[in-house]
Amino acid sequence: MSYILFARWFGLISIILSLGIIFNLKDAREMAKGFVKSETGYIMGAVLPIIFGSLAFMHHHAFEEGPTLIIDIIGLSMILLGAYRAWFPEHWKKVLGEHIDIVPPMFALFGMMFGVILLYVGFISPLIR
Amino acid sequence: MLMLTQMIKTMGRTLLRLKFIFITFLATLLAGCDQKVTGILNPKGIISYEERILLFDSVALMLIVVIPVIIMSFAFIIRYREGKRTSAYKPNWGHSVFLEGFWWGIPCLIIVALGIMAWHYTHKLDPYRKIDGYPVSLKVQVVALPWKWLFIYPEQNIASVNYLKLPVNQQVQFFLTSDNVPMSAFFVPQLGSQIYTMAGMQTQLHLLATQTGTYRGLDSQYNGDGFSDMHFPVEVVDDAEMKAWFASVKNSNKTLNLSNYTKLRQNSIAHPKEFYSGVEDKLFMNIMHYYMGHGPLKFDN
Repeated sequence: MSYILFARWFGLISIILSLGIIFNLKDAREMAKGFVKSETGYIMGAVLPIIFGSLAFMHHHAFEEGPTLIIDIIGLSMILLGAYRAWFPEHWKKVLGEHIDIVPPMFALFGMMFGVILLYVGFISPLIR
Repeated sequence: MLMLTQMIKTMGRTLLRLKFIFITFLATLLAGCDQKVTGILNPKGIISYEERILLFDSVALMLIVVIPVIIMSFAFIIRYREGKRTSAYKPNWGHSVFLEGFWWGIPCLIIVALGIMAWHYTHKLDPYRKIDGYPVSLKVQVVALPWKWLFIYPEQNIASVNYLKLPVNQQVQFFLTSDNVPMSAFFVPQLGSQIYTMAGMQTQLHLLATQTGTYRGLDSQYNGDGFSDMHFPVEVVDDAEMKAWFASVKNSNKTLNLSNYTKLRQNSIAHPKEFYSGVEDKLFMNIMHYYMGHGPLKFDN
């Protein structure tokens, strides 16, 4: 999978999920409360970010300038977030519990921002380069 | 029965109107497809290609904030509409360090990224900087006159008015100044950067065309009555054609001596193309020196 395919794939996932969350915040908040206590939180907070992040980081380009830099940064940040959940579970639960109300909108916002830039990298940028 | 007939007629007329509106709408939309994309969006040179990347990347970076904000505007409208009572009512809520950090932090990061990009490209695309990896194969002196462009090829000792010919895949170095006209700006959008021309001063520009064809060159700085006609074709050709053109201009019976130049520097609008087989010695340098008060150039007027 090239970085362009990854950008298209993950960009679409991010946008679709973010739109779902931002327009259904109540449902997302209930889910988030469940995450903190159950193993779903571990899957969503650690396993999936590490999988997606490492997939992105497979194309690591030593932070070269250009569209690949976006993929590198997103990959690295997801790996770090996942590792934080996996290595410091108590701290993660405490922080998430304190900010549980704003976690879903924040998640949706970051998802939208990642989605916009990834769709650009995947669909527009190859046309002009 | 009469009513039914009238209703059918009315419906028919309405459908006809709708059809007309739809066709007009469709034609308006499709009209854009017939337009040729020109300018910086259709680059034909190394510099303009980089400029288009900078333009698109900058827009994409700004859209990171713009698109989520537009989407959230709709989300807020739906969430806080009158008909829907949200469970949480917090009339005294007014501040969140976390949220403040977020919505100040992200735009700040984007501005930093834009700043780094702008700094990087400003140096990379500096008009004075030679394009890496390509030797300068042609030098052209450009003089903005009222209201026409004079192009002098010093190494070939030829000149043209309102017509520029360049070789493909070869770096061209331009030296620019202006005479008897306010500050002007030389710009070939499909090849790259715009650069100003000023009396008594010399600016420089490096361009490299990557595709043969005819492109539009223009003055992008308002400088008087003939401004709107101060444009010229830029023909990019292969090496053999370039040499043939040099030879054909060399056969022209007109030379750009001081007398001809004096006529050329008078006002004229939509001036035709002209070609000169010889150029007065050090003309470009003397045009600049003239404005510095110590030039040997003596004009008839």
